[in-house]
Amino acid sequence: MSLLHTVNKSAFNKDTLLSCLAICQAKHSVLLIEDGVYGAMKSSPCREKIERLSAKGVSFFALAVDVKARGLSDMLINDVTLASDQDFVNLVVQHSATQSWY
Amino acid sequence: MTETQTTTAPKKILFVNTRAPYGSSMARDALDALLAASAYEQDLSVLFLGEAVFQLLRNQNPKAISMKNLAATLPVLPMYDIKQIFVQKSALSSRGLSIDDLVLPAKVLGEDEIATLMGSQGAILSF
Repeated sequence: MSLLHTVNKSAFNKDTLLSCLAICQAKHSVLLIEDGVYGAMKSSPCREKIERLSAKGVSFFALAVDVKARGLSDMLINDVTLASDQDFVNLVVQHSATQSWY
Repeated sequence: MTETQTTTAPKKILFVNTRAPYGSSMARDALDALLAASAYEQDLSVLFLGEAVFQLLRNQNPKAISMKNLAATLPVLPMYDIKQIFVQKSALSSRGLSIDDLVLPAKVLGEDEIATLMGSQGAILSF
């Protein structure tokens, strides 16, 4: 089934995103929120894993308001799409369940 | 005699920031405490360690998440006589950042220099 993962911790000092990526499969989506958006940076320790999973059909999103708040708009990996608050709601509805990593 | 001296001489106080800007209130709390302390004419320094270097990034705009822009306030520190501003070198490099990405001119320190800095303080407040 399609699963939505949300991650709200920075990948630079926590393993939260790493734990999430370890169980991600095709058709799953990962939405990075709050400090989780740091994991979408080009310098992210998870960059290679994100790019590999993206090629396998995992969708990656970062909440636009949190990206903008932290000044990261020009620093993100290409495979990560910006999501509005409305997109967040749509993602929740479109997936069978949401796993929150925090 | 020496007691009088220790209470009147300016105290060296280091404020250590360790958190990213908006995930918790710690960054804001550190800044508020620092600005309050600046009124007492002590010898104040600030150090940004690890995740805290993200507090100094340019182009922050937290309006939509209802937070105050930290990066807009931090550049006033030199005007409050807080001229000693330090960042951890390895924290910048491991996050793909350089001094040019920061909103204020901070001095970049290695771990040994940080140890020396901490060792020279009368008090250290960690946030």
